[in-house]
Amino acid sequence: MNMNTGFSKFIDSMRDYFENSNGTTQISDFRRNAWNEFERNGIPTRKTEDWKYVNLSFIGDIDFNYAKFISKINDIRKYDKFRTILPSAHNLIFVNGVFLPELSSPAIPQIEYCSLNTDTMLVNFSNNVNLNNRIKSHKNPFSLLSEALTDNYFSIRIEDNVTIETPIHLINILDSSDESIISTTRCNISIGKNSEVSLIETNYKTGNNAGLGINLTNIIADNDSRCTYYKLQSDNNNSYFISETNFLQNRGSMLDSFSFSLDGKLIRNDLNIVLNGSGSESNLYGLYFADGKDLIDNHTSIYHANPDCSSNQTYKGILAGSGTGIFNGKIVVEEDAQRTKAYQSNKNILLSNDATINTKPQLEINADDVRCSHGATSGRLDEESLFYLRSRGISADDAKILLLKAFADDIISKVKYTELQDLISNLVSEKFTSNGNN
Amino acid sequence: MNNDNIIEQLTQSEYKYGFVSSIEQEFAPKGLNEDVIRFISAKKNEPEYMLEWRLKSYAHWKKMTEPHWAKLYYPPIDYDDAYYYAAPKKNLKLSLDEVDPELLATFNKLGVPIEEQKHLAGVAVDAVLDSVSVATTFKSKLAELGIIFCPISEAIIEHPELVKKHLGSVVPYTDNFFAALNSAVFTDGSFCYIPPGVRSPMELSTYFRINAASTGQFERTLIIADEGSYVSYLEGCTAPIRDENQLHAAVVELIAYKKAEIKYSTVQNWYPGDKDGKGGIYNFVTKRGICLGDNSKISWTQVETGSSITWKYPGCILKGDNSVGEFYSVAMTNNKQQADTGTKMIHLGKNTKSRIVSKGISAGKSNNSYRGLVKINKGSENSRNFSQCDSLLIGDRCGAHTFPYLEVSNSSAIVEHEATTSKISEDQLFYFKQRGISNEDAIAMIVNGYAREVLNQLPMEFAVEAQKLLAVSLEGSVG
Repeated sequence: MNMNTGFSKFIDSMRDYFENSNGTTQISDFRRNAWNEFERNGIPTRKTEDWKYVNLSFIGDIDFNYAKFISKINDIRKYDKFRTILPSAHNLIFVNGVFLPELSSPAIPQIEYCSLNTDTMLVNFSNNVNLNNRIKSHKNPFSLLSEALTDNYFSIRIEDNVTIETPIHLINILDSSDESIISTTRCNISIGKNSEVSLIETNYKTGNNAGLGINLTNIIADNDSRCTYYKLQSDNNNSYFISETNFLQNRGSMLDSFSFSLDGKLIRNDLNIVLNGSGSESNLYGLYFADGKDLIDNHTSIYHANPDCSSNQTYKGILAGSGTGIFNGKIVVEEDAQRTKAYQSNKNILLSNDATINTKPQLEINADDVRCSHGATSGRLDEESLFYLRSRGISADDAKILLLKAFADDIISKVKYTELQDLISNLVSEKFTSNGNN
Repeated sequence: MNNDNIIEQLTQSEYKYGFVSSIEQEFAPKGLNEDVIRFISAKKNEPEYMLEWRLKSYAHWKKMTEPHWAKLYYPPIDYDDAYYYAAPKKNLKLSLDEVDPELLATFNKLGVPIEEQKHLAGVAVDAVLDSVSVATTFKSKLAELGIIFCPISEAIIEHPELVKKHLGSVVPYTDNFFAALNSAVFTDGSFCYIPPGVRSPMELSTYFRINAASTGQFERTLIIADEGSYVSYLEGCTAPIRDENQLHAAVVELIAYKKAEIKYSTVQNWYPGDKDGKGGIYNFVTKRGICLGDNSKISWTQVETGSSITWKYPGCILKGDNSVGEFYSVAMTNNKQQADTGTKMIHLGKNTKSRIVSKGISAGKSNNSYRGLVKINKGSENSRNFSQCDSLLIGDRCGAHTFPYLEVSNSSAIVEHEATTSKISEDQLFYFKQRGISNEDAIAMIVNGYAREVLNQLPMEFAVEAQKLLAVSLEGSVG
């Protein structure tokens, strides 16, 4: 029911692409359904509860084309530099949604990955009722677009009983050298029983035109597996990132999820976790920093579907300039999920009066033997702490940076992969320095 | 001993105040149209300006759709299948002795202390049976101080300048669906004006009753506290058992000028429906206060135990500098009751403070949601908010939900929100039993202790009644 005619051009352009992609690949019923649902819902407006704080008018203003990779890009060596961001990781490079094996690290035996346009795993994920029934009510419309338009599904399968030492790094690059583009990816990852893996997803953009990257990642973590998942977005180059990550955790599985949203005109992350087996555990950490006119929107939903699961969330935000931060954390405890433990905290620091934070920690509890709590705060840097530092001869700017670092370090210090920790630490320090001096 | 038993008894305790008083009533024709609004306005001898306002509201209401964002599930309401006006025929407005004895008996059954008023003193009751004020006491005493406390229908005629200036200024008829409906068809309610510098010597009190079958009751309350004044206003409600769902859409507006303070307390015990969720009141209320002047204060306290559906968000607009808004709430749901309630604190002025304490208790198959908004506007320097929302679950088939919205646009503001959910733990019960206290008494004590922070905010007369209400809701387990 999209009444906003401002988006009709965008939708028409996407429809053209969708109908014409018929020539290269078969449009499955699945894709057709996703398209129909996308078109029925349209681009969300301020009246859509899940998008009420997000201004999406850029979609109507910018002339986005769906990224055509193969015909346009000839020199792939120019993406080499992205391999050096985390040199020791197992780097998998995607440009405008297409996997580039030539640039990526050589395959290793325990990980099986492929880029296909038909995939049995796709069916597994799409038909997974445990996951889909829960998230369909707040389905991200851009994920529908990704489901409808993406030709190539990338899938990673980790065998049972293996420990992957090298973190797997998925680098999503938008190349907007020629025109303003929108690119979509769909990635399915399954982690075998009793296996352990670290996954990193990053978003970058090259080229001077605008770019909208839509990532949809589904992860199924089987019994007793352990997964660490990092998402890093730090690209202030006219870039818009909208992503949805869905986790299904089976019995006894453990997840540590990190989200670092440091730069981007618009960053919207939906993180949905279904604790589907008893004894499973999720720890979610997030750090977001919005300055300039950036808007960073983190939506998390945790569904406690079975007894004896626990979840823990700590999201911290710093808002400077005219930046806007949004945190919407939902915890759902379903009827039979007794002995659930769920904690959530969201803390925010506002550095300027033009910055805004909108936070909504949400609890929906339908079982009685639960321990759930949430807390949310917003304020500025503590005057007394600042005074304490200044009275010891530390300049106002340095004192401010010191306190901000301490605030952020809570999250950054939990990153176990040191190369990544250093990278994030440096990015954050740079931001503090540029914001501390005003 | 047996928790399941206690929970079963708790969830099955019958509504104590269910009875129908057979007082002859006068009805407007069923349904809603301009003629009905004209009929109501004419019945009330209203001046032209009110009729115009009602018709404007009605025209606006027709353009609106019923909101469905709350976590409430109920069959569609047929607005054309209700009576919008019902008045007792034997309406005597003179002295207490001339009031229909059956009516007085009704109030006595409810425990409304009209008869005892003269002796008890300290509480002036403006008793509302359905839509017309029947008895007003202590009016003359209040009048000496310049306090106007009368039915709003009277104020519309006698104090048009006050009504014109303030009615709809906090909750305009365009505000929401139910407020628009109320503005079009409200029949009565209370009006209260406290002149500058006056401290109301007694608690002002109103009892609302819903009596006639399928009569939506649309109350309108307007309280104005002029500069430096203070008033404490009590509202209490009970309603008899009905098998048909009854709609109630009230609007309450509070206006506090410079240095004024308004304390508004509610105990709500309307018929919640039977244990299968049949019958019961639909309660869609818009309550809002504005701290218009500097250093003013508005405090809402509510104890909600009734209604099958509660949709209620008493809010404060903190416009004046240094103004204070408070919200204390205990909401108890049982059987298949559903409550979606909370508050809105809008900080506009500098150094404004708000405090929210919400205690939800869900039992049986009920659902209890807290939904609140704290908004700090850009210019609201050094503002402060603290919110605490706790939920207590009794039984494994009930739900407790929290939807707090925090919107902060000023860096000097400090906003804190915390929420916890828990059940009465075995440890706690064991502690009581160890000391020879029965399970039933223990649960009652724990619930009372849990709600104490809010109950303490109520004026004395109400605190007693509120504790009685919680006990009634817990009946079966406490005996």
